[in-house]
Amino acid sequence: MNRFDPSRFFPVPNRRQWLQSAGLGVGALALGQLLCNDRLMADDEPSHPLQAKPAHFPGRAKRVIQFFLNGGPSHVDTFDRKIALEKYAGQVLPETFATERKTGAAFPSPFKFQRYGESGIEVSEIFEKTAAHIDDIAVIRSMYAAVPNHEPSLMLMNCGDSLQTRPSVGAWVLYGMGSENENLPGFISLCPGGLPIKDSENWQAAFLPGAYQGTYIDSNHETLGKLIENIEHPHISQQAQRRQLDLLDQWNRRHASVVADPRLEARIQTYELAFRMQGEAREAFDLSSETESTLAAYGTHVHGRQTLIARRLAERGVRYVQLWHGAGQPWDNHDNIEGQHRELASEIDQPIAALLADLKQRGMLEETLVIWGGEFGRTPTVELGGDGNPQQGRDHNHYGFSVWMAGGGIKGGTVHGSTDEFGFRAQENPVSVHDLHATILHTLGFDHTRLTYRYAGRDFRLTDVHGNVLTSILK
Amino acid sequence: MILNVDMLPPPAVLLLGRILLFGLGFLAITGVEPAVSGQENTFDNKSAAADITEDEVFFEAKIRPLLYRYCVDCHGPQEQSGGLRLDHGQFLSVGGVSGPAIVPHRPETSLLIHAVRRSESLAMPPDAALDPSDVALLEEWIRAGANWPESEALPASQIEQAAREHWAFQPLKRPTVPDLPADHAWRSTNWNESPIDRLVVARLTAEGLEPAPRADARTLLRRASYIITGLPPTNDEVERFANDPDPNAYTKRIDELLASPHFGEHWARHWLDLARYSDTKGYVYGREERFWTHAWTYRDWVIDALNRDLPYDQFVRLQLVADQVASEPSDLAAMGFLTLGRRFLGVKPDIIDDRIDVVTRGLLGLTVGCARCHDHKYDAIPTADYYSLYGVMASCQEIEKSITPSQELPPDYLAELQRRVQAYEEQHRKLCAEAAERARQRIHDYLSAQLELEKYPGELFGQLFKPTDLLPWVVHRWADHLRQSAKSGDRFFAAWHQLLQIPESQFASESPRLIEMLRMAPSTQVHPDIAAALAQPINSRADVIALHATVLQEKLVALQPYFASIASGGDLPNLSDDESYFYELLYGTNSPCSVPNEPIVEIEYFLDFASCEALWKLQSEIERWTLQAEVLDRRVRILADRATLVDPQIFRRGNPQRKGDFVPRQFLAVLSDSVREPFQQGSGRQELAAAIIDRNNPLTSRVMTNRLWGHVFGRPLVETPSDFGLRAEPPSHPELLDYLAVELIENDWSIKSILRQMLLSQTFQQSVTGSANVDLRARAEANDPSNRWLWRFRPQRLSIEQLRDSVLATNGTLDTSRVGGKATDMWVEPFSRRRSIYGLVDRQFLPSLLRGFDFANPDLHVPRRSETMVAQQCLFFLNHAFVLEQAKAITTESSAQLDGAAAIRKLFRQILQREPSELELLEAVEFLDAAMEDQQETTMSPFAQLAQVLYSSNEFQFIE
Repeated sequence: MNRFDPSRFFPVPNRRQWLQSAGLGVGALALGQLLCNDRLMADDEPSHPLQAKPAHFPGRAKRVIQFFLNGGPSHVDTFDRKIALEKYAGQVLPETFATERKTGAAFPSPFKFQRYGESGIEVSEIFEKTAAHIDDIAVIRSMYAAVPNHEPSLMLMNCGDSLQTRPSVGAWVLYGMGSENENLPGFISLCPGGLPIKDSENWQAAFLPGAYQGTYIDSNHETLGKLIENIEHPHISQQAQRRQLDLLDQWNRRHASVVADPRLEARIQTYELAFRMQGEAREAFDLSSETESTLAAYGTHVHGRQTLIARRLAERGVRYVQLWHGAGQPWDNHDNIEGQHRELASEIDQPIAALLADLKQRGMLEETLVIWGGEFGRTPTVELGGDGNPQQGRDHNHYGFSVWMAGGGIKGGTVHGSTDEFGFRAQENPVSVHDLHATILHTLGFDHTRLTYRYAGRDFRLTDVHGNVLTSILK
Repeated sequence: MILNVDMLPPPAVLLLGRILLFGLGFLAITGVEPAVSGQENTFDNKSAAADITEDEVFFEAKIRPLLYRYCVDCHGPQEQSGGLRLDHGQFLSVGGVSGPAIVPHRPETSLLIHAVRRSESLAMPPDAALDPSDVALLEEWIRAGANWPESEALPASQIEQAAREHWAFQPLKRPTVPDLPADHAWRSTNWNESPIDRLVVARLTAEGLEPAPRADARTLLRRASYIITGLPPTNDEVERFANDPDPNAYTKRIDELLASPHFGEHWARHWLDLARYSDTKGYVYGREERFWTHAWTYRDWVIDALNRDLPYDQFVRLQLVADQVASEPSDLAAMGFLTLGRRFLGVKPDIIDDRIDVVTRGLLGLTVGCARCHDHKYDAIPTADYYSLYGVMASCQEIEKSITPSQELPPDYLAELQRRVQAYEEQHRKLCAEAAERARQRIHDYLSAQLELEKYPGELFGQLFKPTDLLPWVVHRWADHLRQSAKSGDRFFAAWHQLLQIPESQFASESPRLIEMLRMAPSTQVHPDIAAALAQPINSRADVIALHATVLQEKLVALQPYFASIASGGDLPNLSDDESYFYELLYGTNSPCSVPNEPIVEIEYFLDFASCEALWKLQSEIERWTLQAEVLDRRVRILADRATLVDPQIFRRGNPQRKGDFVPRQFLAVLSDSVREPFQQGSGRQELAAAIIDRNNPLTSRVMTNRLWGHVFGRPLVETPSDFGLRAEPPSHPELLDYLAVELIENDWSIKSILRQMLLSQTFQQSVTGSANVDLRARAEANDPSNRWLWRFRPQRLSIEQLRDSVLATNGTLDTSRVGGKATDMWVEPFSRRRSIYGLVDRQFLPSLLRGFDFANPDLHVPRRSETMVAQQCLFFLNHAFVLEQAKAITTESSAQLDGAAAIRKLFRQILQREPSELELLEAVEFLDAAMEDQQETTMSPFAQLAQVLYSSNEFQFIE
């Protein structure tokens, strides 16, 4: 019915005649070039929000890969061994602090710890493969947040404020540096099977332009069309689409030669960008070109796949990749922490180790900042159930927890700060989330006090009025 | 003051003197403050210029940060505890009520040093001792002469001075806009007719530029249609307009468009950006329904108000105080402006902050939110003013209800609704009564908790409380009550306040004389029951608390029968004054023990976890019933003044746990006469609204006029539409802004009348190409590429809503049969045919597509959408199912009965409202030829592919 029948067509003049009669010769082209003049473009600054731009100073890191263990991994079961808990097992600690729920006696870690590497840093058995890279890792054992609840703590860790609508770290970084590859989204958040709690607020752009928000990808999907919105035409071939774009380009250019505006030119270029993105995204998410040994190193679990995708994205210049553990809050083990933490760690331990090795082998580790952590840690005391009896798990703990970083100019084999004897509260060299953010920005080449955006009468920054760079963990 | 110093025996005066020493005001002590977090670093060191002395460097690096961190909260511009300020050198020698704080060169006799050494009863800062190294720094500074950099002027006074001179705060006066001078090149043209054009062309000429010729008919009609209604004209309309011989054809069309119901549908969206409109609440805990029941009625109210050209002052007033001034119940919907912000996990100070922000930035162009934690750094907005407005909002409660006449609703719907409401109300009564009773039973514990307030964190700190736990909220209600009692000179707590000022370590030595004095005090000053109880041995602060608790427990028992009788419907018998006092304190509606009779949304923190969950679930059952119903039950969520108003207190550094001075509920100083009266009526919301829409308010009309201009011309006259403060650049055309702002007021605040003036101006009708004079155009392009001086009409990119609506309008499937109604998801198949304004705005799950197109973030007041060009926007047009479906739909209809060229022509007419050029025709044919040859199994015909190209074209997507 809607097939086009050329035989029903009138005779039409040839192309050259048309070009002459339309008066679209050299003059029009010259005008088009005039409009690309830098100053004109500069006046419409947001036209290319993702264009790469220099940071404040040359940073060691060019990009970030962040493992977000949403729900809150227990520090005393992973990177902050506390022998005193064994001594106090079953007894009430001399000092305890209010958390979301009631907790009881000291609860020693059910996991074995061992010293690794030349640095001899102790790590739990559930992260033994990661631990093999401990000499590339700086563990911050004295993190603290504001409150013992997931929602505000996720916001604090991701956006620097517990409640107010503020841009995420990735959005700030993208705003500050743009992307090295405009053919891919510059900030990507991968999470298998759905969204973490607080949903897309975790990677929001808030008052920054929407172009800086994280692009969410459900890594459970394997087909491209389901991974990225609108990334392929469901009906026509790429060749047919190219034909559409050629016609579009021709008409848009003719239009721009009459209606002078730099944004028209920008739009023309953006269509080409979008076309290239379709190809590049397909390639970036296609793991079939990876060797057997690489695939085996990362493992076949979805976390192996999403971590390998992260490396491929990093290779292609994507600025910020977040790897969430899963929908909801998987690490929130109020009960059966032994079984749950063991299983969760087993899903990411191998991919993390494989990523660190892979980045190193490719010479990318030094310019890729790898971050590991959750929104807070867990209590060294056992959680009490509704009946007042102990469960086999731990409550949320914002008073003290661990985060580690590697690559990107981080001094490996170091430990920064400590919690108290039991791991309840940051004691030595406490590190706020703002300090962590200041340090992340520093590795990328930003003075966190100068990366600002004016909104609602204020020059906002990620670290608000806080933040100290942790120079002791930097090379 | 409850004690008159003249009446006291000499030793008591001495003792009092010591307590008063250095700022510890006699009864203004609030007990224990939570520890300062130590995370604050609010002072920016000034950069050390070459001529700065060593003393100054030392002062800036060491001393000023110390003073700001530990002292200035209570001894600074916001609050002058004990009459002392430590934020500027000029105050040091004056000191406070206890005399000079500092004797230069003599640390050992400087009160400041005595205080920080905590060597005597005076101990500062109150929360925790300074580090000895900090004390040493202060001593060193004083020993060296306590140098305070001379050059520094008081920043506050500078700001006030600048505010007096700032353009936006000048009274609004109608500028004289005379005819262009006789020798002006444009004098005898139609640019000399409207004041808008005279001002614009005068400015252009001053810049050595000239305006552009008038745009052609098609361009003009497309432009006007889009800007007024958000929709393109049809090709027929374009042709009719182009061929209309009536010289008033343009004016006629503008008036028709302004009268169209589509006007409100388009302009409402501009307002909703400011109102951070969303159909959902943002993240809420699982127990709470996440959809607002009232959002769409607010949206429809805005559409209707704009369509009927409700005067802007009324438009504002209803959105702030419809509960008090609406003559029609339907106007109650206007209050969605205040009530549909994010829920902020139920944390009240943030909900109120959001409301203050939307009111002050939205209506006044003032960034009052900046003064939440400290005085505004750039504008004359002290923190005290923020909390004055805070008090207005805190004195209101939310009420959700229906405005649909019940006879319009089906009986079975109402019956089920009633059942759910009843279930909720029963539980509400029961659980609140139980909570109050528990609070009363544990008065001793709640009073003891006053000594360790830091253990009872604020609202954000979520704990799963059992009924047996002390609730932080109740602890802090007692703290508030005690603070009030200190202020009011309450005789029951007089001894409490005085005795608890004594540090525990000095209690044994200092308390006996004070106890003696209190026992001897007249009964008007110390309650006799307390005076009697003071006869017992009092050895510690805990004993002080216990004796108060004991008296209160006795009163509880004695008054219980009265309470029981009232609870079962009886009347309160005549009580003595003393009985009344205790009845109010323990059982009254304002008792710290009572749970206010307010909806669950207002009383979450008064309840244990299980009760709170239970009530939310029942409340959500009600909301879900109204949301899911087929019938349109129009619901509103209003604010209503509380019976008991909140006397606001400053939250130091924005921390609700650190309360400072009381401030009155009143309007902003910067917009008030020198004599500012506190609000008198209820919460003060009505007076607030009146002050905002007052004709003498220099901001309201200017701010709105600037927004209107921005939406018509694509760029506002003042680049920061929600910030007219000191940092705002003046308007590009100051007289133009003032002229239109005056016009707005004098035309009875008619928005349409102002838009009409703008739309009829020659300025608006210019072509996008600029002057026909090549040299002048080149100069304009070089000197003013962003078109600040309006030498042409600047092309505007269509918003995502305009794009979507235009695609549907041009393929003939847009449903314009009705205005208003519930929201529907626009981006799932089958695709809705309604206008985008009726699309669901789910702030928690906003499609990334929308933000990718710079849609306003519904969590924030958005004065201007950003304008970015990113690949995702193009991918939408290349690949999104919505676009593909519409391209197919238009071609199904277009090409069915026509031969190729006619079909292409029709496609151009429909999508671009013009004929294709013959070149375009040729190119289209070539495209179709190639696509035909290439055609594989596909549901996308070559013709549909062509339509998609047209939808993707800049010509379609930009207003010219």
